[in-house]
Amino acid sequence: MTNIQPTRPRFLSEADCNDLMRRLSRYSHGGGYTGLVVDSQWVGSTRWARNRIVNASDVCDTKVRVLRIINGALCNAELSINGTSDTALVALLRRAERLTQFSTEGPQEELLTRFQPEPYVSPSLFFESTYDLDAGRRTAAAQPVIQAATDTGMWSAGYFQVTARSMGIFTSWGIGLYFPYTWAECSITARDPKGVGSGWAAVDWPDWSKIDVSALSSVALDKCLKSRNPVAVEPGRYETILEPQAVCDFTQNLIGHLSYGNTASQEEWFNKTPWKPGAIGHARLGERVIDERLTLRADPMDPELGFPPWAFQGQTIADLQWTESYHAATWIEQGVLKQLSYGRETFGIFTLGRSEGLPPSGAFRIDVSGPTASVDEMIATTKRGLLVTRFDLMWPVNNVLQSGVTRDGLWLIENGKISKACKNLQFTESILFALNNIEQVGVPRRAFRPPAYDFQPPQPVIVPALKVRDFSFTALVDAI
Amino acid sequence: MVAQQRHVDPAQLEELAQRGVDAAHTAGAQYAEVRITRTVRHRYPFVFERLDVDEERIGVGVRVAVGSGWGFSANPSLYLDDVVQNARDAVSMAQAANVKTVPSIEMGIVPSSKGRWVTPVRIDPFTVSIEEKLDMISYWFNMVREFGLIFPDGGARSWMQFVRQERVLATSDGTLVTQTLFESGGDIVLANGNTFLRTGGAPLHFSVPGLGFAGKGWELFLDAKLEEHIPQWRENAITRRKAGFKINAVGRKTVVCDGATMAAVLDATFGIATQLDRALGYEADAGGTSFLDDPLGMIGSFQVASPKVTVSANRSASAELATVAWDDEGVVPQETTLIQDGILTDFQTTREQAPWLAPYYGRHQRAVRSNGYAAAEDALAITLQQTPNLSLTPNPAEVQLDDLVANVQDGILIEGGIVRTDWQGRNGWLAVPSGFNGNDFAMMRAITNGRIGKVLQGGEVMFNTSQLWKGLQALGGKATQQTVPRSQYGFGDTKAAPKGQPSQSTSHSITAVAATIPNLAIINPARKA
Repeated sequence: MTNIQPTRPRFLSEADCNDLMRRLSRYSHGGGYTGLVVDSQWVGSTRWARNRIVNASDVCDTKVRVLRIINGALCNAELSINGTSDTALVALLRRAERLTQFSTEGPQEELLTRFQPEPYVSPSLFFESTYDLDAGRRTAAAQPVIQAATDTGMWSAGYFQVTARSMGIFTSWGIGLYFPYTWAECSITARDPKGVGSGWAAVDWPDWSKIDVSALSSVALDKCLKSRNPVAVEPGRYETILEPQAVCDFTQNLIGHLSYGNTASQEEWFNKTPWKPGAIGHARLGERVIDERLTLRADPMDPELGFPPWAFQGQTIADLQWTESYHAATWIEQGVLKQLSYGRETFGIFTLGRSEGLPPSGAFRIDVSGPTASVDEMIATTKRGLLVTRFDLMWPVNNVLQSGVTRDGLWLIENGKISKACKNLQFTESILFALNNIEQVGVPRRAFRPPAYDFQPPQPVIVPALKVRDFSFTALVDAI
Repeated sequence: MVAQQRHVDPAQLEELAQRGVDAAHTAGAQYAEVRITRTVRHRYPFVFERLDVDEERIGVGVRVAVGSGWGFSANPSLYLDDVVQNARDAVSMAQAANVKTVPSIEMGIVPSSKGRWVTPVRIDPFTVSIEEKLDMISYWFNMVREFGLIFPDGGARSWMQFVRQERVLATSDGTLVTQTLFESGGDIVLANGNTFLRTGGAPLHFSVPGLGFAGKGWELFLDAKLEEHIPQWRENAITRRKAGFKINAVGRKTVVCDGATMAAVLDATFGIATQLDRALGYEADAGGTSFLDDPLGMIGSFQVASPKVTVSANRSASAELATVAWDDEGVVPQETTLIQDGILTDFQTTREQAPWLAPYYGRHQRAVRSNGYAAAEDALAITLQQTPNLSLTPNPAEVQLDDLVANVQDGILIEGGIVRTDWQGRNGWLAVPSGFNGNDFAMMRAITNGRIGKVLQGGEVMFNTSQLWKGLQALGGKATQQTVPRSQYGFGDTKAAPKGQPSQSTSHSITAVAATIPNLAIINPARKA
């Protein structure tokens, strides 16, 4: 095994960021105020397919955004570079200062006093087990997965990615926010070489040591073997067991709707009428909106769910006022709507009279109360239904319905047993309909929902398996 | 030191890249390539009437092969020491990925290339001042009012964007090339009312044709000549609505797709299915696989489409997004026929992948040679096989869109359609943009007895790729040709599909003609079981 020790810092420390801010202040022309939003990351990855390692990579990157305001004139472009050398910073500053000439807004300096960061919590999300997973160790972790597939005559394809990242906001008037964390992903696909079956399993955690590669490999291989030579079943409404990954895929848009309506033209799920400026008391707070066994919450300090405690959502110095901290939130408690998300400025201060916001981070967990059942127990109590591994190719149909396709394992259940592997199906269903038609609930488990793009903060999900009545499948899709 | 200078002479970058290759070779690489890119992107949303995004991104990426393993190391530093260290790290990665029991990577032999190339734009958009661009936007805002039109919702849907990427490539075969690629594009949406505040139905609104991403410069917007064409566009939009609206009925219909729609279909089906690595399972844990899953068994004999269909791939078409002089492995790309008269005849390949089809190439006395379709979105992403420009060959006869429509008794005309397909490209869904993204030039309209009638609301086509392409009944001529972009810098439907892990995407264009396809299923997407 080749151990590869890092020879250079892989991401910016807090001291590095403070040094960046000092240099920006030193090189600024024209006075005024300066803000810095900086993200830096190292991504180590190993990829394999057709039972061979394909590549191993190490990529470091940085995104430096400069915010400037000079004599009340705002540079309101998103101005960025991915270098930290003096020449890069000087070039960036000169561009920012030039762009203040195009400011059409009035004096903006009073905005600066608004940005006083809320107190934020500090989850421990930096793990040496992730940071130390070099290419040699990643190769070593992949080899047994590949061997297991080879031994059964199947093909394995998969991916390990480990990331160490830091994010920071610093200003010339003394604000300094900094947060480092690690993130690890493992996804494994097993396929029959004839293309007649496919299985998959994956998870992501900040701590690599929590990822049981062997278990994921076994699940993917088992699903592949059991999914071979699927037969077509008639689309229709089925009692459907959604494994945790399927629940994650299906419900992940729910969190975006748990907000005070901000588009007057849309009918919001949890508001009685479209939101109008100044309207209070229009939300369905206190009403039961989903099954009473379910509680939807998120807390950055949750040892199982933990996620970064703040994020910069804007692009200009004025947008610093939108920088919000994430707090523990319970959106829905035992089926009853308790809270909706809102921004500190837009709603918190002016409408609700509160001093802090309750923004959604995108992360969530669905906890359950009452008796739970394992997936095997759900199968055993199903007369006729379907078991779904996950969904792919999700798209909104309208404001209520969404559609997608099952993937990597769909089975027909008859009389309490899996009777046959099925060809994939397209579904068309409403999240709220499904969450109000639940037969059984499982024990919540971590699903796979890695960041979708560079520098996106993670939005982890923990959800149970659910058995849902009358889940609507509308068409056969025979891709395997 | 090279890195002290903000704007670096290409010769200095070339030297830096060469030093990186030398360092990789010294460290034990059997093949090495060093790419250096500098990408600048400017975006002007009309609603703000300002330069809103000014992004610069630099990267140095070293990819090496050792035995069976690829190693890749990249970061944004142009310091020589860092480039050398990148090279050593890439070799360490490759050594970690190398498994002695797996055959070594074979890259073939390609002639080394030397030179420089620039996308042949008329006006480098970065030489046009911010003030001039903002003046143009301001002029348009006022000018369109003379025609009774506005930029709806304050211009919320209108924007323009410019990208310049400088790319240096050095390889251990002796290639040393520098290319400067331009990509410009935008959307100008005009309407006779605001969309958000309107009651009683959407106002007339349309996207100005011809502003999609292209390998062009500022001339893309100058040549649009809005004031000359607005009357005709406005009249076109009004005429379309005059016939009225009706709900799209489910059932099986003959569908006439315009060139833009066929381009979208081509990209989402054969565009992904003919990627050789995907067809062989190398993307199985990422984007998916391909319904063309037995390349050596299928190539040369498998009928994938009607005999009327020929599809080619290139990286040379003027102003198209994948057009370059050399790919990211130093190969001069060649035009390839992927499908000839309905038969699968080739796949998209790179240097490593071409030998995988050697038995077929040998039988047909063809050189075992990469098609030159290796690419990466920038130097911080690993080189992969990526989709080149695609082209659906026109009917040699001068068949117009109206001719295709005239031959349909009961059908649907789809213009500006958008497509999604499953992870094998085996099945798909075809619709038109709606809601906020709706556009009066992207519509479904009824065809009755050879005439275009009412605008159809709702409904989408669900298709099986093989049945669609094999069932294709008629093709339009060159006059129906349209080119649509898929850009790595795009959004929504114009965004190029991601590939790889970590995912990346690269720009390409698709040119297609109109076509008639019978017996396609029209479904109600909002219908539950």
